[in-house]
Amino acid sequence: MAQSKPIAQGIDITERKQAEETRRKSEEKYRSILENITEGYFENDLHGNLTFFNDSLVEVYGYTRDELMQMNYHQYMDEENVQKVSQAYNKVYTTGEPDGGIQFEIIRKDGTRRCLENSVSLMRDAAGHPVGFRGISRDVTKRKQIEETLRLSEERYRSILDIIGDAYTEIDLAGNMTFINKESFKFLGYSEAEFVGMGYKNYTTPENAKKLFEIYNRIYRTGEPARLVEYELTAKDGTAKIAEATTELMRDKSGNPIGFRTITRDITQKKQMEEALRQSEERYRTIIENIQDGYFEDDLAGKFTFVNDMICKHLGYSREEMIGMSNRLFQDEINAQKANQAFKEVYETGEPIKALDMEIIRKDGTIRFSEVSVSLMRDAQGKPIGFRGISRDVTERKKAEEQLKRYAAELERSNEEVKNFAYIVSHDLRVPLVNLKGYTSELRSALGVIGSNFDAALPHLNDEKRSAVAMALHEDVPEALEFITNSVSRMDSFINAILILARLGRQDLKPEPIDMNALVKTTVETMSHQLQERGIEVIVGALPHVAADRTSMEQVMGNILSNAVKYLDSSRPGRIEVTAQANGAETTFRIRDNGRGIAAEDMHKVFAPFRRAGKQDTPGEGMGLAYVQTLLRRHGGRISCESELGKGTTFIFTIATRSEKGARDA
Amino acid sequence: MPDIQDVTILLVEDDPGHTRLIEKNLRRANIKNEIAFATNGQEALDYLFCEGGYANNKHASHVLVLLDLNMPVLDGYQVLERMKKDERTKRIPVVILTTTDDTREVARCYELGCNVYVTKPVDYEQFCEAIRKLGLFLLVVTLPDGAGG
Repeated sequence: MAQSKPIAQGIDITERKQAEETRRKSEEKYRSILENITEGYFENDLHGNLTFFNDSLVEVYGYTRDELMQMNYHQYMDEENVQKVSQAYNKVYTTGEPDGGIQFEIIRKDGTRRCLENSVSLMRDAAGHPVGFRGISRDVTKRKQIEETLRLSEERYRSILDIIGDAYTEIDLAGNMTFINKESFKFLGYSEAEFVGMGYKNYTTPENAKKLFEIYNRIYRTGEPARLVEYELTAKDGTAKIAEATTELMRDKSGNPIGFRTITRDITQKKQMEEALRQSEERYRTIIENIQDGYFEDDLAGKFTFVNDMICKHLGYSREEMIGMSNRLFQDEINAQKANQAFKEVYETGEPIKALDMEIIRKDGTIRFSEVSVSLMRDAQGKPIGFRGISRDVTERKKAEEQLKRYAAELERSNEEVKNFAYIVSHDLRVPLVNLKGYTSELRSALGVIGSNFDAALPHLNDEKRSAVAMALHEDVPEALEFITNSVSRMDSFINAILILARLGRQDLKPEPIDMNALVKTTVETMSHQLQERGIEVIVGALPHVAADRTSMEQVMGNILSNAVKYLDSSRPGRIEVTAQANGAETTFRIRDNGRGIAAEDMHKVFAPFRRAGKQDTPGEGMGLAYVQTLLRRHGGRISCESELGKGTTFIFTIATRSEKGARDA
Repeated sequence: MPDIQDVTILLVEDDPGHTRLIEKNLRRANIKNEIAFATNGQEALDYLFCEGGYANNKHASHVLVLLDLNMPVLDGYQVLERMKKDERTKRIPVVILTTTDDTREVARCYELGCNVYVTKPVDYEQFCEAIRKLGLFLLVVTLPDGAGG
């Protein structure tokens, strides 16, 4: 600590004066420098006490010059900085080498802290012994603050880059990656090491590389950023990724382009969803435009906001005419009211209405029938915004239904007429029969009267005439009468048969639960004499209960069984089997015999009235199975027949298992 | 009480053959009463009420009607119905004589107020027998007073 002291020496005063003057001037110069520099200048003894310093240092430390003089560094530092400073000074002391950058913090008199950077060197006396330290102290508090701010700022940007979901990349002008954030390599499936330095051609197809090049080239040429450009990139695994990128030119300080920075967003999924949505939308649009039904959307006031082609066709208006149109224009008051009521209900309940019958008036004035379904249309928040619906033109169907109803009524009528006709005819035909029979009898008895008186007249005739008259009287006339009588009898039995058939079709059926086992047993018992005599075996399986008219069932079973007995083959022992199977709503009965069977060409006659198949050796009118069929039909059942000539015949009939309210009329 | 011999039988029948057969067999059954003929329901009513073609006739003192059912103009049911509704004719005995033997029609006729229902058998022997028995029945029938309107 070179506090200059005056030293008396016996030398030439002039010289000394001159030398003094020179030193004074030099000292003056250094003092002036020290007092004017902004950095602090200090000198310490070896204990760290301040021995000399300039004003700048005083200002930095915040103490007065007097306070600061001889102040030890322990007094204005915390323990951490004391350690740091003493270590640095020790090093300077032991090595003798100056240290140009000791950084530490001091605590000023007012308690505030300052960051200082000292350059320190060892101070020696004339003999070269260390006597202290001297140095320059710079206040770097502001610089430190700026550095910290910068560091924070950089950290902020870095963490932004890391937390944003988008990729941030910087590439040089050659197209190689120079900087990337985490998202960048994750996006394409590379590791950070793989990705940095990678050229863009490695993650694009050649075709896309060309496109990318054009984009970057334009940015380079114009200096304009390219915003939200979409292009395709190729991930490491080869899948295509769709990127949406904003790229701008990166320049150095002097404004020369040095590369590009890009924010890239992976919109692959968004694109896929958009595509799915587009396809779905297209699908629905295609359906709506191609269905045969009309599709419409209405606002809450009931005015069309959207219509498909078909509804335009139904109504005869163009699409332009229909948009904004209210239903009152194509509906009369009654139908418009009906529609409004329905729409109101849909609005209030939120429930759709289906198959509402409507009459609509086309633009040309013709009337069509339509069947409308309406539901409420809501926005994303669930607020009703209108109605949508399907309108089907059912005019043709309505017409067909009407037609069908008319046909059914006509059929009903003509069916009734046929039944009445059969009934009336069979009655009215009896009237002439009574006469035929009556007058034949009258004729026969008149003939008797003539015959008994004939002998008296004989002598008056010659032989030839006598024999001719006798022939007529005794042979021709009785024979003619006989034929007439027989024919009338046959006709009478036909008429009776028709009458029975007509009655079966008219009589009231009283369905009741019937134990078919008991019914068949009774039927078989009535035939027992015949069965025993001819050695016929009848096997009856377990039969279920049915719901039917008892008399009808007796007639059905009686007819089928007696038929089976009648047409057995006399060359083998007769065997008849009755079985049944209930399957759900129906029960199927089978009556199988080993009789003579029916030839295939005769099968169509089996159920026809007055038709008898095969050898005509048994009496009957051929009406039995016709009655059976009529009765079964009236019960909603049916009958069929399987047969093989010489083997046997099986009759199969079905009947409702459970009682239905009323058997339908056959 | 009228003598049965004084009763006029009104035979209402559209078929002339039947008319003759019935008449013959009634006579053979020893029925000697006067028989009047009507070929349809309207004629029968005209006879009974002395209207139309019978406007100038005197009312028969006592009448018994043999009535067929299926006839033109007015059928047997209509004749029966009108007779039973009219104070003048409601006590006149009516015998239905027809070819129909349908149970429902038999029931309907009794409901309308017929006294006897006879079916004409097609077989002539049975026919003759039925008419003979009807004749015997008629011989013992007692008619109410004023049964002739």
